Amino acid sequence: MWDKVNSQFCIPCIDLVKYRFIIRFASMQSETLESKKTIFSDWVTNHSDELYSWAFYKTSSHEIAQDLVQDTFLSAYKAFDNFEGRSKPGVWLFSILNNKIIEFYRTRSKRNKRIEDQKEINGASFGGSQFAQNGHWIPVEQVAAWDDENLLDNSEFLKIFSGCIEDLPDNWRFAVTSRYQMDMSSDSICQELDITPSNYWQIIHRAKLSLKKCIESKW
Amino acid sequence: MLSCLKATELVEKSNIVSLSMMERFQLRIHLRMCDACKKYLKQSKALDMFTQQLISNAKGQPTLELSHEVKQEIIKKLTEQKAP
Repeated sequence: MWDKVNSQFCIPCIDLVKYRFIIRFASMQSETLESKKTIFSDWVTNHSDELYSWAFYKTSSHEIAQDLVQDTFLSAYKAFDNFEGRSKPGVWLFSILNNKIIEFYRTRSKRNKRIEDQKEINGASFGGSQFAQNGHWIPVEQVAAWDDENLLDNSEFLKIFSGCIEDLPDNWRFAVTSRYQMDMSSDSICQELDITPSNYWQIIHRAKLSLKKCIESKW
Repeated sequence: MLSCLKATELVEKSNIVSLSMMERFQLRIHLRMCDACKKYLKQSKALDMFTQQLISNAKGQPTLELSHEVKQEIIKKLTEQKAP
């Protein structure tokens, strides 16, 4: 490590900014493991709430958000040597978190697709249970109407709805929420989930059927 | 005649891509005759509305807090890491 730093140091025309980073980088390297731990416990204390809020906003799941924050810190810890103080710690951590979120949806979508295929073969899809063999609605008992705009201001209802959203399989939830969360176009949602447009509306269809079922059983 | 499963699927499809003339026609006929699917159409729009509301509420929400225990656990996990 010192060799690398020294060789850079010997180049005659180092500009001042670079010089500052090298000094800083070098001093980081010489810091003990103990102080790295201190830095990280500071970071966890100071940055985990914002990271957690962002992860929750992007995934609508407390549990997943928590895991993503933890993974972010673990990756940051491992990659600490690459953090050259070029950006603020918060900015750096956020960029790691965003990669984690994308990675999370990519892997989930691949995994879920396999499960979906399996379900397709078994002929038992999630929301499909509301339909009879012939594809017609299975009659249900009269349920309270919930398609009313007034419910937009009903915090109790929104809490139930939020719970229903959280219960959806991850990539279904992403398909339903990403349109509003990040103003993503259908094309980019499909790309992110690695699915075709016809998969996309099928997922939305199933997701909405399970939301419907969930609301009708809880509201 | 479309099944309700197929009809509700077309409802969602129409929100994403435009339906073929045949599909549009079939869906219109189905919706005219089937109250349950007509209701679904309304509910589907309501679900979009609630989702949007939920997200705009979340945007305006104060920062969430990660519990003290979880933070301590993360710190503990980090300190257990071996030196690179």
